[in-house]
Amino acid sequence: MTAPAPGALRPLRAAAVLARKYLADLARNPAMTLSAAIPVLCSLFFRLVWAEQSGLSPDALALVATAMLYAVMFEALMASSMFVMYAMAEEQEKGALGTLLRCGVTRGQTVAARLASGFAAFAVSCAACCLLLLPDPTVALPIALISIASQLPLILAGAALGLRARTQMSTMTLSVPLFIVGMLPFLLSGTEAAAPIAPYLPNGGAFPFVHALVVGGNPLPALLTALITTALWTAATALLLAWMLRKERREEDAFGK
Amino acid sequence: MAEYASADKLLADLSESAHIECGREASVALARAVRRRFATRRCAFALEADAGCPRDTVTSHLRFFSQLAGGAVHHEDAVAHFGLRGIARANLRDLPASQAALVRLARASLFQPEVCLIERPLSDLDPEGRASALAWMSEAEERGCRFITTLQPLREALLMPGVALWCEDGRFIEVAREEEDGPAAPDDGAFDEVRVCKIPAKADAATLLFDPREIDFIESANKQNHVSVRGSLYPTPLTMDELDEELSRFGFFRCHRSYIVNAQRVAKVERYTRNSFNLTLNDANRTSIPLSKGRAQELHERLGLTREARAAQGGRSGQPERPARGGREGDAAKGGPR
Repeated sequence: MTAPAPGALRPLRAAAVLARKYLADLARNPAMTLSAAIPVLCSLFFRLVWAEQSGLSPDALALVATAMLYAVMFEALMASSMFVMYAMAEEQEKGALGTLLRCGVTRGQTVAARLASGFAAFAVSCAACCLLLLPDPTVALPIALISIASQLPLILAGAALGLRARTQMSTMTLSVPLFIVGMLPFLLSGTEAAAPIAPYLPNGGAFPFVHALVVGGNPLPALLTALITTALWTAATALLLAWMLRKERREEDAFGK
Repeated sequence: MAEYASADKLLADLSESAHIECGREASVALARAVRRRFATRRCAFALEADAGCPRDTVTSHLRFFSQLAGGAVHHEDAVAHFGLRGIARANLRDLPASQAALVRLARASLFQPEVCLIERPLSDLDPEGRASALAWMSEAEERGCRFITTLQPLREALLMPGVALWCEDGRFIEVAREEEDGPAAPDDGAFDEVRVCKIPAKADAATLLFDPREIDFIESANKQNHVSVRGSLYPTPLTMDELDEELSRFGFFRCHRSYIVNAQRVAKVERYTRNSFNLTLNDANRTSIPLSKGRAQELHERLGLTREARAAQGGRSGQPERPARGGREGDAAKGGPR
């Protein structure tokens, strides 16, 4: 039996226990497991088709990079809508959230744990995609790190919207703006005129960096752009989440509205 | 009878466990008041709306909450105490109401609460479940836990340690305590002659007249006395003392200040905790009726459960006294299982 945590660590301990539980729930839910597995399976398929990337032309390499980013973005959309938003709605609709709140857990702890578990599942899945599509670890690892980090704003936005999701059905509507924003960098990067906007979108920071690293070019300015853009969007979505959390606390307690 | 104007007032003025007959709205108001008043103390809530993750089993649910509570109580201990071993691997969503209620209590026990609010703690439980729930409540209360329970009907409140109250228009009214019992009705010796006895009761606009043998028990709740006949309650204009006086010669027994029971209907006498006795009737609803600690001995004598009573019966029938047999009645006479 574990010893009780000292007072200051108690909130962290509760969030860690919750995050572990949420991760286990993700693994036990077939729909969630499938959502995490689809991009990995697609990456495996591409890997088998392009058995050796060293012999690929620059155009083919660009296609590989695009496919990898597509996998990461798809996974980010799954993580924000399914792992975070849908799971939050389910917890609320089935009454499990009320039980937790009545046990002394705060809404902030549940959201932090949901973010941690959702982001961890997303990161593992994305890392697997990167390693499958880009077998050279010196290229794959920085790309994986930046790609994963660049999706943080989208996942934070998913948690903010998840606070408003009262039922599982309501996530269908609430996830529409998330999907539009999430797919925008991918859609814009395909057209020459709109492509320069893509890196400045909430989850588009990684585009020029990945392109520079895979196809060729100076990755440093692209890295700086990616970091700054991601940091700004992360701060903005974190503020949105904090505001929603405060609003939620005012409107509802552990015993209902 | 003490009266409290609000849930906050009740929690502030009453320093012991309170069991309140009330509806859902008052129950939520009480829960909020408990959270407000005891914000800095370890509180546990076991509400009917409680639920776990849909994919949780009983074990995984309790393990998780044990970890969340800091691990002071191992989930296996709670599983063992509440008799949940048989359903440890069952999914929470598949549990019947009686087992789900026990899981809620087991979860509350993991927090070693100082204050514990429970909705309908005994309503869905079978006799074994009631016994383990009341045993836990008694142990927790001895450790200093204060229980606030919300329930219906009032008779369940009288089974638990503490004060019984009912809620009326947001006010909480205390049921007169057993110690406040007035002197017993004087025996005027007027029952020697045979006379007709009918107990009047109201049903809509009609006045029903019940043969005492039809009556299962009489209940006093919310300032109104009710006669229970074939599972239905009918209000009667007679007072409890009048009913007690009238019915005692028909084998009725005043088992509690608020209850008179037809002794012929008593199917089981149980002792849940040191201060908590329960009578289960063989009426239509298998009703559980509280039995006051102070009246338990008298009932045992009436039912012939004490050694002296058996000896007297043996003497009357010319048969030698036999040793007490096993079974719950025998257990109850000795103090009973916990």
